[in-house]
Amino acid sequence: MKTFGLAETVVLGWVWLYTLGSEIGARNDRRAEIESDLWEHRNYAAPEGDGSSVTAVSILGRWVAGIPADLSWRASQIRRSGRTTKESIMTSILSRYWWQALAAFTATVTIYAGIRQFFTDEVSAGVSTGKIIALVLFVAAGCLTLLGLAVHRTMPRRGPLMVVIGVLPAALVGLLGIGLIVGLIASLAGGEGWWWLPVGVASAVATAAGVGAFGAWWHAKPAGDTTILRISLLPVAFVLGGLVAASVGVGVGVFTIPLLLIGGVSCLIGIGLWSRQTGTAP
Amino acid sequence: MRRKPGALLPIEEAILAAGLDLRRSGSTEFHGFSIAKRMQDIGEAQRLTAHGTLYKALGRMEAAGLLQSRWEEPDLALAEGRPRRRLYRMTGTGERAASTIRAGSERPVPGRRVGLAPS
Repeated sequence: MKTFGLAETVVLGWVWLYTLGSEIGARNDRRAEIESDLWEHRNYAAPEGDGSSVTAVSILGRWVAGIPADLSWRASQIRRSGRTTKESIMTSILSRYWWQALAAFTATVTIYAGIRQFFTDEVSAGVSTGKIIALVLFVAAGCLTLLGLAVHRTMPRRGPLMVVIGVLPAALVGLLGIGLIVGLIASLAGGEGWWWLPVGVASAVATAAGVGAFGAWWHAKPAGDTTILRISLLPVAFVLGGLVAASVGVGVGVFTIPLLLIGGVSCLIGIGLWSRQTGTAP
Repeated sequence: MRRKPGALLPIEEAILAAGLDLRRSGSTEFHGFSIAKRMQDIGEAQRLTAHGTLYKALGRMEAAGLLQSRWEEPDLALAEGRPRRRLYRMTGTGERAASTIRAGSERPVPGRRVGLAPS
């Protein structure tokens, strides 16, 4: 690919990105217009004797200088389309793909955790039965999740069931993390003995119950139009997901920093969604 | 950029000036790159105008009734082996605005009111 071809690809990628989810007519017009412009630019430059690099620099310069206007255009599209489009974007992207992304991520972490514990510094002491069981269990759970994701369209019942079973070990570990954190905070509050243990267990059970109830409600057949209500709970889901991710990182010590970062970003997204819905942050 | 209703931005004045220039040379319709090139040629822009800036301005001017646009026939583009062009032409309002700007004795002033409907 010549240099200007690479520059065109960058520009078209950017156009695809910032027009994503906008009204279909405006989106197609903008993409086609930029594609045409790039073609005209290249075919103007060639007879003029401009080299590929010169044309690429010119194209990239026009792209960079126009980014603020692109973002402004996007913002105006959102304002124009109003809440309906925002809802449709959120519904189509978040409602459709969020659980798949979360499940794929969980499967990756599960497989990694299983392999990592097998090769920890205790290798010199020999391979214990427990390590082998953990390795098999975690890798199998991760693979089952990925398999469920792969077949969930062709097997609409068995696929999601595989995903649910596959993420169970990770979910239990996450709940353990939450229980440990809450229990630790409770023990720091003062007092002797093991009284903090039931507090931690209760918080883990309550979290599990809350997540389960939310999942059941989410997938329940809606009575009437509950779209707006469902969307309004998305920020809560993001914040809770972020807290769980951070808890897993702290409680288990696997992927601690990335999980903390992901948890933080997820919480920020939740707060951002919340502020967009209500006009103010919670 | 905020502006008074009916006022033109510098880039819009430049587009109108270039459109008028193209019209005098026999081109009643122009596409995005051709207007950017003409703006550069007649000194209305130092460089080729950025994609985002140009097409946002063209869209705004079309919404304000200064320009009209249409997509050319697919067969023509196919025959020439290139993407379809979106072709713009100045409306009567656009031509009057361009003439008003051109008739001025001084360089077009940003934000000048030319009697357009609010966009």
